[in-house]
Amino acid sequence: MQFELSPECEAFRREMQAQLRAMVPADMARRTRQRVHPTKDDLKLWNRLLNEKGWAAPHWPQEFGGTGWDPLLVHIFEEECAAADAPFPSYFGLRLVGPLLYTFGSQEHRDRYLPTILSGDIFWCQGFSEPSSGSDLASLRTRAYRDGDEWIVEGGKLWTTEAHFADKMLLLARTNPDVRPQRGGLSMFILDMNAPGVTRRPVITIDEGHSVNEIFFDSVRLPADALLGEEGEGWTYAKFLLAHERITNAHVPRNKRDVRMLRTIASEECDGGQPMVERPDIAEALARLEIDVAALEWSVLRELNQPSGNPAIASGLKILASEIQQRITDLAVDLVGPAGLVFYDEAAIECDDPAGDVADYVPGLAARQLFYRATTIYAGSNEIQRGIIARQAFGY
Amino acid sequence: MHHFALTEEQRMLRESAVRLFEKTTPKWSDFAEMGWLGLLIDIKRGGIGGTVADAAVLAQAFGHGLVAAPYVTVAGLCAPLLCAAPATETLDGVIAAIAEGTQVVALAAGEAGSHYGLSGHATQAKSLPGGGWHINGAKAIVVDGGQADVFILAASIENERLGLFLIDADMPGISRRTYRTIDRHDACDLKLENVSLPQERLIVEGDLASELLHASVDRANVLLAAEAIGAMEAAMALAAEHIGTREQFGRTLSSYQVLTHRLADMHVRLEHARSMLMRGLAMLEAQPDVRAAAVSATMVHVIEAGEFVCGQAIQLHGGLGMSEESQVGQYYKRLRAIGRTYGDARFHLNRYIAHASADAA
Repeated sequence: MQFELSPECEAFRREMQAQLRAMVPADMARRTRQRVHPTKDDLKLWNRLLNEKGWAAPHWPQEFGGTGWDPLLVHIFEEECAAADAPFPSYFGLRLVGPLLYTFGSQEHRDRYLPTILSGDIFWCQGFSEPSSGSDLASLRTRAYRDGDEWIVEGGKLWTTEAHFADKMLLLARTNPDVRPQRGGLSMFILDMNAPGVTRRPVITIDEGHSVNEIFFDSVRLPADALLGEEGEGWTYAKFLLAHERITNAHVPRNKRDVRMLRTIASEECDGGQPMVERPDIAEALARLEIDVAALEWSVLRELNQPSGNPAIASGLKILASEIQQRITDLAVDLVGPAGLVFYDEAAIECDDPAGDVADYVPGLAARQLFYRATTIYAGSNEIQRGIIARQAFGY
Repeated sequence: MHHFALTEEQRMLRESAVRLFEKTTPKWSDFAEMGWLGLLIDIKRGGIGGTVADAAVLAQAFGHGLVAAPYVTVAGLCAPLLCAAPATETLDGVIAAIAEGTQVVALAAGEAGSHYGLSGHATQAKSLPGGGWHINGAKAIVVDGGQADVFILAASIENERLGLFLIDADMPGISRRTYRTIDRHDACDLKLENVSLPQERLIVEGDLASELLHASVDRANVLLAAEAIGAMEAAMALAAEHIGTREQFGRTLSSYQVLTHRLADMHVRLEHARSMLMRGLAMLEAQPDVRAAAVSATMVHVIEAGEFVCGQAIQLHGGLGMSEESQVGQYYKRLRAIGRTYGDARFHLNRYIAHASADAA
């Protein structure tokens, strides 16, 4: 063990900080701070701005369009993106489809899709969860039948994030109902969201925002080359992705930014003339969060520097991070007191005179607190993660 | 001797509420017809003359039925506050109108930056030489104030003592901005510019006003606690039903001990919160320090239990609980709103600490 950041790392951080802050338009930064769900326009524009610098996918191997930075530099870069209030880039193309294609995809698929993911021209969504299959992916019911060279898809998906932004879906479907999903019953496909037979319905979440959707497939015809990788390998690919997802879902850069913002809010909000940050209970809650975010960061740095390949570690990160995210938003709402009652719709969030006579960081806090109830549910509920840890770490 | 069981009248009250809420979306006039709006108003003044415990039974039914109406604000807070003030003709009129359901009254105490505090108002009342008042200032996040016809306004008289004034929403100089809250109630901000009031619109002032305000908000807090208990019961029942029917990995969710133990913890938290509701009700007539500590102790327990019970009801529903169409999320939001109407758990814990020696003695 040897702990020191090289002078190169510090120089890299300073360089990125200066460049990224200059790149994020002020109105985009404000929307990122206030909105629970990013707009499609902001995601597109930020993707394009990053791509112009060659930074759209720093975590990809260089040969496919990555930057060639080591994991620590990627981490520093992402931290500076968050600190500059840049939106977290649309997840599905850059984090799921890209790695899947360069790891398992055909050359033809790579050539066709990777450049449009980097440029942000094509947006993706992830068609895994279904109404009766949340945590239990093996019980998927959506079927893909062979019809000559082509495929026909019947069924539906639920909780499909950003499907209303997406041009393509990464679809997980049953191709062989006679075989267990884990033994080759599932395959992955690239589905065109504008194909005949695809219907999208918004699902409004308890924050009253729209980020997830329900999708229906009514005899959707897929061309032969829609199959991603090998037939029957859907389970293998899904597991590869979920392991990735759990590390990214630690959201260290965002959590660090949010905790810094908490301290700012705590210094500005007053309770009877006294800044909240001086109240002992607030000071303690804030300190505990800062300490827990530090622990989370060092666990992620450890894993990045020396990957354990142990699913128990990734699951532990997901549990800690999701609970921290909830505690951050809980405390943020506590800090603003009765303003936590007010419902701010999207128009109110960008207005200069928000209801309740509050500071401009208030709108969006309560909605975020509500939406973040999902962090302990999505990407494998925390109960599922604890099951994985018990199995992997102890064999139970 | 404490009696923890409901009286016969309270059982009937609860059943009539449950029946009404099952049938339709109730209207404000229904509440008047049932006599609920005058429950805490003397018979002589047009009410029913019930007890706070009676009102708590009703509030619990409102919580269970997820009825988004300003019942606690109007009938549980404002009505008894007005009844306790020195009687005037104007007051008698407003009190009768509350019982009849023709006027909605809200308490306008909070201001920008006042957090949950009930003192130190920047809104100023200036005494006019020929009698009467001029009011200037602003009120923020007046809960259930969007539809109010009348406000009980807290203002500082000559910058030194608290005054509670009765103002009509449509008086010249008052502008109101109405908006929704997270739980589909409403709230408003008020601007008051040279609002002229006749002398008798000051209903109480000084230490009396301060004590009346605190006592009234404490009563309202306990009634909100009752509403919270009702909401928790309903959310827990939904969660129990869900895990008894939903299958994942080829088994019903109720076959997973981690999930049934979660339900067990919810049950424990709810029952202890229910006990603290009763303790809060029992202490409402105690001397102010003791009452303050006891009510805040109730609120700490109920708000934290509500966060756990309704939050975990969402968790047990998985993604389904995150949908705006699902009832559990609505219960959670009502609990969140109750927990920041007259103070959140942190506020009440600090308030308990400030008054604790009185409660312990």
